[in-house]
Amino acid sequence: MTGRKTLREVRAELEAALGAGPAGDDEVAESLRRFLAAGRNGKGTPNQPLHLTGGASLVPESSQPTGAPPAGER
Amino acid sequence: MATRSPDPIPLTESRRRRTQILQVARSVGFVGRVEYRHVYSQTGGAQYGHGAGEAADLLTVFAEALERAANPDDFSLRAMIAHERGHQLLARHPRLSARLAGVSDAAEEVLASLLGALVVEPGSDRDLLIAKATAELLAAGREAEDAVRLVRELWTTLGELL
Repeated sequence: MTGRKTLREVRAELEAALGAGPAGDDEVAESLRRFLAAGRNGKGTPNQPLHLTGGASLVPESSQPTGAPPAGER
Repeated sequence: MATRSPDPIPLTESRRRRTQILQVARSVGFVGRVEYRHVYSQTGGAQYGHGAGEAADLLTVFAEALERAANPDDFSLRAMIAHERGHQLLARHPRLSARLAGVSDAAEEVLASLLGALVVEPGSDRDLLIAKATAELLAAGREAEDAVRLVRELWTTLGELL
């Protein structure tokens, strides 16, 4: 499961424990420092935006199946 | 208990979401069926389902995953799906499944995040999955230095096993 903790919560917990991040020039240390610096710089994570298409008729589909995947996608 | 519901979306949007999710899932190597369900779940956004065989495995992505992905302060869709691919690798990869069978649920979450980080390109998605794994170890009671040391060790070991 993805887990319900938001990225903001993850960042806050890491900042509390690691400050600006661990020392070292290994990939993990550099990654954690970049992650924490991105939060301090207010850059966040460049997520792909959710494009909700417009449309006159909204079709409720809470129970609508997604449909069978194309052949070859099974 | 209050029940939240996702806003209705047009069929075209549902199809667009499924296409997007399928592309991301395949790009991180997920094998099996991929579904989008326009419902809220208790999973945080996505879930791996273990099938009778790898081709019968199921990735289900729920409405909140798309909502979370639209928030720059939350996980991207690619990171969420890569984490689920990490669960699939733990279950299906011959060397990983042999060595890591029977780990606790908490340990599996850490491993899935690190495996997810390994299957995405270097960049923000990889960074936040490594951060998530580290935060999970901290939440489990590890000291900061110990958590980082363990993530380093796992990162190296998992990279060699993949």
